[in-house]
Amino acid sequence: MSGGTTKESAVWEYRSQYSLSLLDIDRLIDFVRKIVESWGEKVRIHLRAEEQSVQVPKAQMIRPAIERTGSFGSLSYIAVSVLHSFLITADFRVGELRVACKNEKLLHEFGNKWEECFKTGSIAKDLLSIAVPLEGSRFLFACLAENGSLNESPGGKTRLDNVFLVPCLKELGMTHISTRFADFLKGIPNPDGGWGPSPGMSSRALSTASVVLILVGSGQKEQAKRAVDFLLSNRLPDGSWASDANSQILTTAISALALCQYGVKDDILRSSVLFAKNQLRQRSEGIENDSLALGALRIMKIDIQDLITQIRNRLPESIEAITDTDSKITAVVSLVNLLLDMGVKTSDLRIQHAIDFLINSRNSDGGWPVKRSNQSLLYPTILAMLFFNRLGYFR
Amino acid sequence: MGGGGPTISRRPGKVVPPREVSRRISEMTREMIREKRAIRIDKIRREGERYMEEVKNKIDPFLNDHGPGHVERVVQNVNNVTSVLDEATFSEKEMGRKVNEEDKFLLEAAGRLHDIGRAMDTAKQHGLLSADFVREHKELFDSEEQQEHAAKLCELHNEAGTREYGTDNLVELSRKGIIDKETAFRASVLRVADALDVGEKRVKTNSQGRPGEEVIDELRQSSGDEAKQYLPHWYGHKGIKDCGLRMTNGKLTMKISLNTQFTEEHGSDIAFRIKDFLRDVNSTIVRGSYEISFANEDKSRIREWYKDYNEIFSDETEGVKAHFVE
Repeated sequence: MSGGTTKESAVWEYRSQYSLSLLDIDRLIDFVRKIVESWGEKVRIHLRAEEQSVQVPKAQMIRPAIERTGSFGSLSYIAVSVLHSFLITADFRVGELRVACKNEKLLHEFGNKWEECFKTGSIAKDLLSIAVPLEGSRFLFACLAENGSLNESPGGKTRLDNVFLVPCLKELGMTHISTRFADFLKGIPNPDGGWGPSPGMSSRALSTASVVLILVGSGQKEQAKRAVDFLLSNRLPDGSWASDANSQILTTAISALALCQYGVKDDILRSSVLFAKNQLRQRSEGIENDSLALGALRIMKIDIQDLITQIRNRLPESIEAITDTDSKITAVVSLVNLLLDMGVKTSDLRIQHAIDFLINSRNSDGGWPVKRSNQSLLYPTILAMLFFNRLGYFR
Repeated sequence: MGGGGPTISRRPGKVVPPREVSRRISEMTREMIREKRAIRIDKIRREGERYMEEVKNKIDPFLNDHGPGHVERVVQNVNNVTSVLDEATFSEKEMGRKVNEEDKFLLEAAGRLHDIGRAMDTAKQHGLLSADFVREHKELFDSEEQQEHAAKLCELHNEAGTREYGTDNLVELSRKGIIDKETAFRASVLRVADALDVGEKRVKTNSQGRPGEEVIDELRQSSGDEAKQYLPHWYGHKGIKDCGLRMTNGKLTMKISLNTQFTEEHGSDIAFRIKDFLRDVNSTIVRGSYEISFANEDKSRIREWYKDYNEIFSDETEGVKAHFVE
């Protein structure tokens, strides 16, 4: 938690943007309860949901009042105030906690109290199905630039070698983002018809295939023709595409998927599919890439059951082994996706353990970093959101 | 056209020049379109009222009016806001043109149906449900495109309905190309028009048509805390006489008239209603372009009220000039 304090016209302010998630509601209720304890009946608790405002006398009544007025998804703000002393606004529309008061000492007191409640309180797990889509879409919208490019982070750069999951936003009901991105992409191919990892860089198979997937997924197939030609003419004799050693299987699987989605016939893709399958049998690029490559083959309706059985032997014995604080979030999601592929039930402790790990790794801006406590990024965020969707959280 | 061109004669001996013929044909076509739209609007109005009547009891009776009275006021506000924003050149700036008949039709259609989702399953936001209703009633519109435009306006009319986009800010949605500029303009008109129904008329009755005073009495006398939670909302509305958007001396002005008898006892309730109203307005293209004029028969009392309670809506009025008028 980090907030900024300023003094404006005799009012001290604490603002902490993107510090507040719907999942923090119980921490906030605890915070309000403590304020009421110290200030008594003078405190007014006011909230707005579904255009309706209500005033509740006790912190404990916040949750029932939201449920009665509308739903947690329509919660606009909760304001806690004592006239002429302070106004605390938990603004769920932008995910910001603001404290305004006339006294600097009091401001720090509130700041400390909030941080204490934040540290000791727990996440409102029952609101996951609302918070993950809503706040995730807020993060993704922040990544979208005005020119339509989809940046790696809000205000960051565009990377095209890891946007192959963007078409899956359709599954999350977020086609508006992928369509807008497709509009941007069709204007910037390289002269050879391909795309590089960043706009302007020399063309690579993985970036080009990702763009084909986005264009085709957005109904702009005709715009992908030159990119498809690039992929077909740069395919190696063994059916693979040149890439660094750590991602050749993934590059080949994603490129084959892109061509398949475009409508290239199966017999033309046979050697690429065979290459990906053989490589997955013989060696590993790591859980993350293997899981994604398998996913691509599954979408192509390739039988992968034998591969799953083989990969099972490569998985770590327990999920705890990879969910320490230093673990890559993308690797954990890939692992649990593999477990689900193997028919493991969602009630399985390993899946539940992974869910807890993911909730605790999520940033308050609604996004996920590659590693805990880092900046949220586009790719792990989409991956994690897709995982929660697979578990039924978006219904 | 010179004397040699073709001419059409309506009456023997009276020759109408071709330019005049074409003008008359255009005028007749426009008139026919207007009539057709008026018939459509009437159908929409009747269908909206019929459906609302059928399901109105599903709306929480302790909520203020979301029924036919509110709908009529929103439609009136839509017309007023449209012409004010047209006059203030917002339409030119946003859409590169003046407001046309199609804009007016879509706004009235959406204005009539925007809250219909209130009476449906509450698990989904009502704006989205209203949009679903529009999408299910193809027969009310001329084309699928028109139907979709109207549905979009219902979806965008409030904060909650736009959450799935990642923001409710219509300016940001338009700037990032998620909605086009015409939609941003129309949705802004509807959102402002809806928000402007923040005055005492909103609590004259509840959605079922029960007199507001009776509802307030029941809420006041109820033993549980739960019902009483609604009272500040009702008082907040009662404290606002009227609210309107107009051009005053070339400036866009939001005039908020307060009821003096309420400012003392329910000052903060009024301030919270104004906060909510301004939150809605500030998520539209109007943000940062208007001044507020607080009006009351007693200027000094309104100043006192403002001094006491303006901190409640200070976030929403940051950078906004406020006046006080009698």
